[in-house]
Amino acid sequence: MILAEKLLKTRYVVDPHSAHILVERSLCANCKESPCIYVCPAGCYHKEEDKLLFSYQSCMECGSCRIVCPSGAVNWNYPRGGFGVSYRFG
Amino acid sequence: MSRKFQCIVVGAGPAGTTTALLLARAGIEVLVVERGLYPGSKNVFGGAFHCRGFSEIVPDFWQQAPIERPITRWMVSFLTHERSFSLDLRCASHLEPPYHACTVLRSKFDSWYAKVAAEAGAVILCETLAEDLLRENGRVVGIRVARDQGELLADVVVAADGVNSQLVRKAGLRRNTEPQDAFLGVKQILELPPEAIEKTFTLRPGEGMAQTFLGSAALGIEGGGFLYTNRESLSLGFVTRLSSLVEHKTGPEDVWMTFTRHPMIRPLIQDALYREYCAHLIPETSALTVDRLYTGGLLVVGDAADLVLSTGFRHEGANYAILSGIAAAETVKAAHRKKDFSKTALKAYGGFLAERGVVSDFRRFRHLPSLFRNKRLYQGYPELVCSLAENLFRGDAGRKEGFRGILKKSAKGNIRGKDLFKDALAALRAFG
Repeated sequence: MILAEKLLKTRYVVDPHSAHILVERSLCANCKESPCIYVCPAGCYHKEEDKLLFSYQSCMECGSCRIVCPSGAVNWNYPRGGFGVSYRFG
Repeated sequence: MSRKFQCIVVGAGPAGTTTALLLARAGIEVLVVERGLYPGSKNVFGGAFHCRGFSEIVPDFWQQAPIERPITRWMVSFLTHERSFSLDLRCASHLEPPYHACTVLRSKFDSWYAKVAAEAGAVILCETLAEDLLRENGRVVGIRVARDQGELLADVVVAADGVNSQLVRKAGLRRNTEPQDAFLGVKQILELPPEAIEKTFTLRPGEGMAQTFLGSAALGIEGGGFLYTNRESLSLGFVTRLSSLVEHKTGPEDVWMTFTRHPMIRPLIQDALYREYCAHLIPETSALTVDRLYTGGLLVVGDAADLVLSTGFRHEGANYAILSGIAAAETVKAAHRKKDFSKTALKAYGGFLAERGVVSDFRRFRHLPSLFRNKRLYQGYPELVCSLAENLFRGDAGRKEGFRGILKKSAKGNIRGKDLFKDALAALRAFG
C-alpha cells in the first residue's frame, strides 16, 4: 500500500488559513542531505529541480523534521487549536 | 480579559489528566487546555497500558475504561531475513482485574479519562492551543492562548504538552532534542473480526497479546517492531531512532515495506482492513535531571519531561506519565497549602517523583540507552539467535555437533567472540 493510500484513512481538520510549519527555504539551498524528505512519515517534503517543496496538510505532527533538519530551517509549531491531525483510534 | 485559576494544566493526555483529576478531587480549581478536537485526538502509543497501580486513581477502572484487551500473552521475536525466533510468555492469571497490562486506543482511552477528571470538577477546554507562558518577576503566572480569552492566569501551570512541548522550550528548561535522542514511531490500525484475532494468536475470547520484534525486519536500523491486539483490530508498527534513519538515508516507508513483507508478519495482516495510519515521536532519557522539570510557577510531566522507559520487554510511557501526574498533583497541593508557588516551593516535585519510584527506575536503567545504541543488537544478535535456534533444531546428515560447536558456528560472521563478551557485561550492567 502506498503512502497516499494510507494517509487517506487518517482524519485531518486542515487549517485553511495558516501553516503550522514554516520552512526557511533559503537555508535549504545548501543542504545536500535533506533528511526531512525521507524521514517525514507523511511525505510532506519534496524536491523539485533542487528546490524544496513543503505541504503541511497531511502532517501528523510528530516533529521529526524539526529534529533532523541540520540547518534549523524548519520552524515547527503546533497547528492552531482544533486543527491538524485528529486520530480516531490513535 | 484575563481569568485566574488555581492551576492550569496544558494537555489532556494521561499525565495532564491525572494531575487535573487529583487536584479537582482535592477541591482545587483546575483548568485543562487541550489543543485537539477532543482529548486523545493527537495521541498515539504502541498499544499497551501497564495498569498496575492505576486502580489507586480510578478504583474500578477495568469496569468503566474503554479497555481493548487485557494482555495474557507476551512475545519478543527476533527476525532475520526469513527466520524468526520467539520468546512466548502466557499467563492466564493476567486476565484477572486489575490486570498487569491491557491494550487501549488512545483517542478512546484519553477521552474517557478526561471525562473522569471533568466529573470530578476539572474544567476541560478543547481546541485551545497554549501558545506561550506568561511571566512576572521571572515566575510563570499563566498562559497565552489563541482564543478570545487571551490570557489565562494561574498560581501554577503544569506542562503536559507532550514530546514536542513548546512550553518546556519556552521556559528554557530543555535543550534541543538531537536525532539520537528520539524515536519515530509509526503504526497502522488494521481491522479484523475478534474471532479471527483470537484464532490467529490462539487467545481465549477477550484476551490480548503484545509482541515486540527485533531484527532485520527493520533493515538493521536501530529500533524495533510491535504488534498489539485490540478488540477488533491490530496495532502494527515500529519505532526507529531518528539518527539511524538519517544515517541509512531511509524513511519509515521503506522500513514499513520490509517489515510487513516479512514471512512472519505478512500472513497476519493479509485479510485485515486498513483503518488508520499514525505517527508519533518517542523521547529517550539517558539521564533524568529532576531540576529541569520545574521552575517558579511551572511543573513538567509525562512525555514533556521525557519520562519514557523501555527495557526491551516493557515499553512504558503512559505509566510514567500517570506517576509524574500524581507527583505534580501532590506538589501543587503542598504549594497550595503554603500559598507558595516559587521555584523553591516546587522543588518538592523531585521528592514526590522519588516517592513514586520514578527517579530510582530511571537511575536503575540509566545504562540502557547506551546499550540500545549498540548496532549489533539490531542485526548481529537477531542473526545469532535465529542461527543458534536453527542449528539446535535442524537435523543434518552425519555426525552431531555439540552445543559449543553450534554456538561457534552460529556466531560466525554475526558476532565476534570478544564483542559477545563485552556486550554480555554491558547488558548485565544495563538491566540492573
